[in-house]
Amino acid sequence: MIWLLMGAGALGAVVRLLLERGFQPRPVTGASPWAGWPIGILLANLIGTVLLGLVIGYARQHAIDVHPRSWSHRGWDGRWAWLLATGLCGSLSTVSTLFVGVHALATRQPSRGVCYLLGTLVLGLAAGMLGFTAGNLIG
Amino acid sequence: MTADAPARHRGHTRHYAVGQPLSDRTTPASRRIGAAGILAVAVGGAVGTGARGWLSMAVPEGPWAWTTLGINIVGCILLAAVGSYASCRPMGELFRVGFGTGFCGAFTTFSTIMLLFVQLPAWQYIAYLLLTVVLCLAAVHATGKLTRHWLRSGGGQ
Repeated sequence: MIWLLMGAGALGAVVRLLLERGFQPRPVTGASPWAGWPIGILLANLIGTVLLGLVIGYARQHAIDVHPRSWSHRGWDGRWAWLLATGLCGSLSTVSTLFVGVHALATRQPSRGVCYLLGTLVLGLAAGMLGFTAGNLIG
Repeated sequence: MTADAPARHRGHTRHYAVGQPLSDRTTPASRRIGAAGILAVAVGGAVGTGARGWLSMAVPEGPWAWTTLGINIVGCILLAAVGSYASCRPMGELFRVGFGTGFCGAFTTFSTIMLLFVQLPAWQYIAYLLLTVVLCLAAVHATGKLTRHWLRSGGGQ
């Protein structure tokens, strides 16, 4: 099981890398409206949060316990949810890159750091609630 | 060109804030990520996720989700240390990407703390988010300062 979890984590990390590199922060030259903002990390966090909301909402609706303690009784349902939640979503979303990015933004211009952090938190909460509600409605 | 190369190097080093992700650098080499880089991130991500998954089983979360908070703070410290070190000293691109983006990125998790509103009461959830923000930012800041101080006093030579 831990190997499957690590595989899911590898996938999440590579997707995050591609998002991060695809929306590379550029020097603040005004070339792009996203110049200087780590948009890729924001996207990775939001996608991961929506997905996790879906998984948790769906699991709650179907009385699936995501925690490993319940596996022996519930077949593969809990295991799938655990792989998606802890493996893929956990790895796709990140706190370390977020706060290092916030710190870097704030070092140059405090308002930018605050803006990015608040934006991430507000959008993240909205994404989580959206995913959770949608997951509850599925099935 | 050769004469001003060291001066340009010093300016380059000073220009970037400690802890700033090196992906901010505009050098073309750092923008390219080859198959080896992707593999490094995959391996780092697998190990980081495995470590988080194992910790979540081995250490009971408790009502306050302390395990996740601890994991996030440790990940912030590690990433800030690597970033600060790499902004002042040469570091292999593969290690930096594999450990930073791969391990630290996968070890910490944003989605989990966003979904804690499902299990925590509102006041506790707000307190938890505030605590995470304050502690993680403090961890990044302090680690950057300490690493820079250590490098200035001749460490890592």
